[in-house]
Amino acid sequence: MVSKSHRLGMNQSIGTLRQISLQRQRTQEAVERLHLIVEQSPEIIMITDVTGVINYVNPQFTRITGYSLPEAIGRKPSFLKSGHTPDYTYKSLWTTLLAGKTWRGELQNKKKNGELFWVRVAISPLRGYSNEITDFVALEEDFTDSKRMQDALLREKERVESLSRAKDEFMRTITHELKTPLSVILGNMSLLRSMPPKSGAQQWSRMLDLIDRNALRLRRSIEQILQLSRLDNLAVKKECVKLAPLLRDICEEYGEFAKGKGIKLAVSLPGRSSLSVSGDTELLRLALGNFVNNGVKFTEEGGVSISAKESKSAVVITVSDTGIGLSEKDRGRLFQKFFKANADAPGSGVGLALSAGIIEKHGGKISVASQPGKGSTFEITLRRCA
Amino acid sequence: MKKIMIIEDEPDVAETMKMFLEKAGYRVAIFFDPRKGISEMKNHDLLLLDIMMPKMSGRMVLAEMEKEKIKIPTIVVSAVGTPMEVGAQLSREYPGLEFLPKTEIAHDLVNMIKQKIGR
Repeated sequence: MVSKSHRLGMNQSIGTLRQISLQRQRTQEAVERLHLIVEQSPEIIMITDVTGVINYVNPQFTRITGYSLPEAIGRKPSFLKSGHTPDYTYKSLWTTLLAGKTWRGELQNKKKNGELFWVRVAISPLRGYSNEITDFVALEEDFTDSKRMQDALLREKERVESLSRAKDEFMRTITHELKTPLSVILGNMSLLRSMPPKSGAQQWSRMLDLIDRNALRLRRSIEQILQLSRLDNLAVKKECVKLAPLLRDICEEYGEFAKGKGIKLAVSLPGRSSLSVSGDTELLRLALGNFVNNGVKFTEEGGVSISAKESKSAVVITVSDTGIGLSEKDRGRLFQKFFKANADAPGSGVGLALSAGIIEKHGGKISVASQPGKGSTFEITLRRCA
Repeated sequence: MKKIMIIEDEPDVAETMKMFLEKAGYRVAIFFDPRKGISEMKNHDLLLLDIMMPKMSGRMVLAEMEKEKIKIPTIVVSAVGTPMEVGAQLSREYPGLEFLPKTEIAHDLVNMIKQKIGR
């Protein structure tokens, strides 16, 4: 017979046993659940010992890097280095960890197949029961796509800003190009109005010349600006363009400009001056004219000379001046749409950009040789017309 | 007779300004080379200065004049921007400088000069 107290005692023991076993079951379940959380985490989880040697990686690690658990265990995470993360980042990482703190940062790593990827990382020290650091746990989020988009956006922002600056420069150039001849026209009109015709036919004539010439210049500028904006859709005629008359015309067009500055402008062609190129007469007139205009614009002493010669199935036209010349850096950028050698220089921005576009459409080439202070020589190569 | 110096790279603009000034009774000298102009400034009573020039810009001329301590009444005549933009900037650096848009030569040039240096 079991006594009452014995029975109570036994019930208590059974109760305690049951409690202990329940406790153990709950702990077991908790551990399993935590295990599942780690295994199924959408973030990479890596655990290393205090020397940095990996002793666990979760399946997401394998999914992203391509390295399996056995391939990672026993190695240090340095095998994932891409070579693009600077050394000081890793130094700061270790310093922070060894001081017992969590390090957060971004790293660029390399997958097993060589592909690079970006991770946002939080590494924390794991402490044991006596508060000493036993392991390091790294939680990593792959944000490669987001990073790529960020970089692309940044590049686009810089490109847009640079274009915006170029556009402002360009507007400044156009304004100057248009306002200059306009001011001559307005000025001379006013003078004419204030001077009765009888009091100086010669002066009247001079003023009318200035108005005429500058109105033409204004028209040409507007034409060039329009052409430049249409350049991409341009249709190039295929004519046989005789160089002699074309170059002579251009010389005449810019002759007054050169004379006004006291410099020479001349064409010299070889004896057999029936050299012809294949192309669009009007476009070539514009393109070559700009080279001559440029030469005169930037020359104070000496002059501009134009010549042409045969070279196999091509013709090379040379426009050479004794002007201020260009540095190597400027030479490289000369034909960029909005380029000007110095911000306060009267822009050759529209002119040369248009010329370059036209010559390109003709399948031709342009080269420039120049040195600051020693003038410039432009060589324009075009296809010969039989 | 007062002497006016024009530093300008566009021959037609320079000639047009000269005609206005000679009609108003001034003597005029045109300098296409800014450096030559700078060396002659002491012999002139007023300077008309362009901003956009290939070899040496108007800004560079003003800086050079400051360095050489050349003092001469100056009007900047420009085809760029409005007097507000160009003027605001430069007048901060060079007090006393005046501005005229090139398109207003007919209306304002002679009056501005008369105000600055008389007939």
